[in-house]
Amino acid sequence: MNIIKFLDEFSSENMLEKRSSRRDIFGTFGTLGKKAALAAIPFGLASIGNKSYAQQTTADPVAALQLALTLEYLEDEFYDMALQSGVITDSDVETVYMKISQHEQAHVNYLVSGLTNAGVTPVEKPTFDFTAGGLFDPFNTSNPDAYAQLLALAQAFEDTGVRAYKGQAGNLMGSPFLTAALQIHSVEARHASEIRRIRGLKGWITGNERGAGMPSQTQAVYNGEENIVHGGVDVTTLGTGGPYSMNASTEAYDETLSGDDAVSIASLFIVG
Amino acid sequence: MGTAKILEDTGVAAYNGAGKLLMEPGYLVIAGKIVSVEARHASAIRTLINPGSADFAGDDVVDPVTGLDRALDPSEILSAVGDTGFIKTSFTAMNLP
Repeated sequence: MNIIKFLDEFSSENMLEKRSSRRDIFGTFGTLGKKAALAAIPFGLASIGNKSYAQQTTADPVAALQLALTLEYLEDEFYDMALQSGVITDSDVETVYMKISQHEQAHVNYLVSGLTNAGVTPVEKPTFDFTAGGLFDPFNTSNPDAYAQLLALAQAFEDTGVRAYKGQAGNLMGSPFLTAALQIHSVEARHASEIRRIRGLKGWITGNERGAGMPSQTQAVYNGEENIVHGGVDVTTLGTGGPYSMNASTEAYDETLSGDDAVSIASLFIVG
Repeated sequence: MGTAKILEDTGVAAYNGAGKLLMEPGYLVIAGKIVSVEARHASAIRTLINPGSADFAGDDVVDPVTGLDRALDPSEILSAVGDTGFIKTSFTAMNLP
């Protein structure tokens, strides 16, 4: 399927209608029993109102994996181009980019073969434009801001990856891909932390701050990270001494990103 | 520092392995919110121990072929945690794989 078509269809009626037949591919899906699961929910958790929970009612593991593959294609090409650009002159940073690049390539391969083995045609690799229509010029050695942009985009992509995988976890419940998706999710978080620290930030996210030097266009990656209510509990009220601070409370939890929001962020860099 | 590294890496592997046992989407999401912060910690600690290296996501925790972090079942985590000698109160993973 063409990437633009896939992105258009991601949350469309058309995709949802296909859902029941696609579910069969994943075998165990039907055994979950939503009513049985609901019966086991303790007081408080049933009222979770975030988007990813709502998505569970339209769980589509194939769409979740295709979205993941799209994001992995984007990261994989980005790091390949970054390493080839000559913009990175710091050998320590090059070491980091090489390791991340190796992982993103592995994730692409894993998702392509996983989808293929499940009888699904993997989404085609999109054509990317990492200038985002001229906003950035990260691979151009004659651009004095290239290195800073190259690091800023890496941070945005990794922090997006963490949130996007988390947002799709509910859609993968009961599928054999859940554990692997979680295993990729934590790798994205390791990457994000490292890139953020290279940029002089904390490895984790405070409030909804995108961090010093991040272009305003990346703010969508961080909106919602200021949440302090998890499972119906305001975590700033917890703590045995004084209550936890707002900053510490937001830093201790990452947030989900809906499929739609992940698509709109990725779409900035996709031209076809 | 070495202890922090073990604790954070083990935390990541434990959450990754336990995700499939959670039958309630709300729990799964909350576990996900925590595990990625654990992984951010693990990455930072690893770089503090060995700056300028690829250890933040080293081959000892992330398989370089699959690009997957570790995922351990509760019984494996229990034995790994027991081996550290940090825990003095007995607990079990009764009925868990």
